[in-house]
Amino acid sequence: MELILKKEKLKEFLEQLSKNYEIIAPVKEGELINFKSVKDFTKVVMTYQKSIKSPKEFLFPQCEELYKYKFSGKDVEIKPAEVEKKPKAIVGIHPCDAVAIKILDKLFGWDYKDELYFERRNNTLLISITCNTPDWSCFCTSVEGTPYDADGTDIHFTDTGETYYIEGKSEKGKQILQDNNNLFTEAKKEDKDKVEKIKKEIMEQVPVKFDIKKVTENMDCIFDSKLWDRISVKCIHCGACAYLCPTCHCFDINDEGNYEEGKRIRCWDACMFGHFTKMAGGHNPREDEKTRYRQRIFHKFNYYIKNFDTISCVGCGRCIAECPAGMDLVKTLQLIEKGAEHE
Amino acid sequence: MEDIINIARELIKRDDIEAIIGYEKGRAPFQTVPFFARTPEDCDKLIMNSLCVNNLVSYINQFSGKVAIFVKPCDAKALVGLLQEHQIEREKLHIIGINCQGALNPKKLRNAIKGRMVKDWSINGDKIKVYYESGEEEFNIKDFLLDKCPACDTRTPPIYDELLGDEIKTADLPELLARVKELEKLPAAEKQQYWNEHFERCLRCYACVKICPLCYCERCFVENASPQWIDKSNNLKSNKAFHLIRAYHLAGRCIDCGECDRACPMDIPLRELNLKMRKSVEEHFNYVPGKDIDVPPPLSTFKKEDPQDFIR
Ligand code: SF4
Ligand code: SF4
Ligand code: SF4
Repeated sequence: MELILKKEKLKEFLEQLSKNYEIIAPVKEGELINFKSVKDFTKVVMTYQKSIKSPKEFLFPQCEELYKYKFSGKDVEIKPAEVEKKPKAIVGIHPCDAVAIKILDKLFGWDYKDELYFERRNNTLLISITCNTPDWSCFCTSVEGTPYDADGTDIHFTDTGETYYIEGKSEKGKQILQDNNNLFTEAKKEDKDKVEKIKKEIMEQVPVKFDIKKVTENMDCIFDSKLWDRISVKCIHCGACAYLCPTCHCFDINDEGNYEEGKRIRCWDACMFGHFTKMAGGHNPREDEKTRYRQRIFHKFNYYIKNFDTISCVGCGRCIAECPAGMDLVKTLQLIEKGAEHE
Repeated sequence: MEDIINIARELIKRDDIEAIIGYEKGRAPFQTVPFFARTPEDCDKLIMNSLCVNNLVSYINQFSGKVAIFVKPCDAKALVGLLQEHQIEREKLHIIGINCQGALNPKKLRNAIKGRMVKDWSINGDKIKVYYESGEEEFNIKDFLLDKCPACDTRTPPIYDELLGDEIKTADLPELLARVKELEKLPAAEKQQYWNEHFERCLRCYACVKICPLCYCERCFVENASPQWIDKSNNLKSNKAFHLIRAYHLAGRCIDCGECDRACPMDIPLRELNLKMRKSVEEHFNYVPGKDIDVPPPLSTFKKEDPQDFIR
């Protein structure tokens, strides 16, 4: 199902959609592009260069309540948290960020099925858009992705200049397009050709930077390499990379409250923080930048494959573009590609 | 550039120097990154230009031996602070001072090229030249300075063992605290709203803390779990507490390198907060941090004739 939407009709489409969905879309905040819950659809920026945060927080919020507790005498009353009921539509998600959600699904659906995550997930519509403004830090094409192939979304947009070329992907997505068919016109062969041309052009803007097969093959024998000492010195062990990353998912569970009542919450945590692995007795198995940086790379390019048969990086480049110390994941992976002997 | 490479090559030959801390070119357009040269060949990669923005002094203690370090005035000011607070041993350092006429904001430059793919860039005098896949473009350096630079009165590092070039004096600077004074004039409610809007965005990624040369507490209060000084959740209340406590802890110590500002992915104007503290400290104690290693910092010293009783 391929349709055409005139750009001026986007607002109307979103208005229709907002009858059943809370609309989450990229908007401008100062110089930044950020996904926000929007009501004024004229503010939506569909064609943008990388949002500062990925939209993962709408499925996996930075901090969320698991339950409330209240003591009365020796008893404790527990009230499980409830997830917002109104379905959400994440509009304008780039293919890399959409693929990232599939990667998160595996983790949250692993040995324990995370109810809070899946309640949101199953209640969220994904409307993706071809990323036609990749920047220097993007490398989706090196990790088996493309800037246009948003596998697993419901509807996909391509900005062709004056119009959006729209593909219904899932049954749910096709139904929504059907229900609003007065807004669209049927796509013609020229439109399709135009989209193919756009795809080809963007692919050229994101050249392949390394052979991911070679990288993942080499991972197993690189754990003790001196390479890690060298490349980790720059790292200042903040959490910018992990918090901006669409696939990072580590969290920490805490209580906030007093002796009578409170709530148990989980918040994002980051393996680059020094206290991430600090044990109750004070021992810290990952005490320095080297072991922590190595962990981040191994988790994404080795352990995740062993557990879930996929790497957990989509090449969005945020951790590279935003690292204040200039750590460069692509350079690291290129070194690994060469193997330990080139350290 | 040859100057710094030659200096570095000479230094690394010395038995007592473990590494040279400087910069190399990064992969991004307009990016330089910290670099640690350990061999003469490494030294050839060293660069120094107005895009060398990172404050390098935080890296000194990563090395056990003696290091040589290239310092711009900002780095040198931080060094003064750290030496005063006994965080670095002077004997472990060979300091090469670099004059600075203002550093460039790489993000601003990247915005100016509007997503075009850059092949290379070079700096020549007061111009920066950008080479695209096809064609080239020239920008004026003065349009892309970091916010901290135009009003900076320190163009030559306040501490060094050797200086590249001659000392520079400054004149006719715009007022450093103009923005703070403007904010001070806002009614309380508007001020509150201004900061709330910024603090609300904070991710608590602590990039600001970790990049700051003067934020060296081995265990930052934000990391403490027992007692937990602030909530782990990034709600406005805790975010505000975090930033205010941090600003207080940097009062009289922050040397305005602006690294926190640059590091913040969420564009929170942290410098404005720290400059406000600078203003207060200057007013009350007539002291500006990072200027002179021989003037003791007011918050870590006392006088017998102090008007307040508790200190005596
Ligand atoms: S590791 Fe970096 S490039 Fe990969 S998905 Fe995360 S932020 Fe993006
Ligand atoms: S760097 Fe910015 S987002 Fe991160 S903790 Fe500091 S102020 Fe918050
Ligand atoms: S608070 Fe910010 S400006 Fe001040 S010394 Fe630290 S990083 Fe530099």
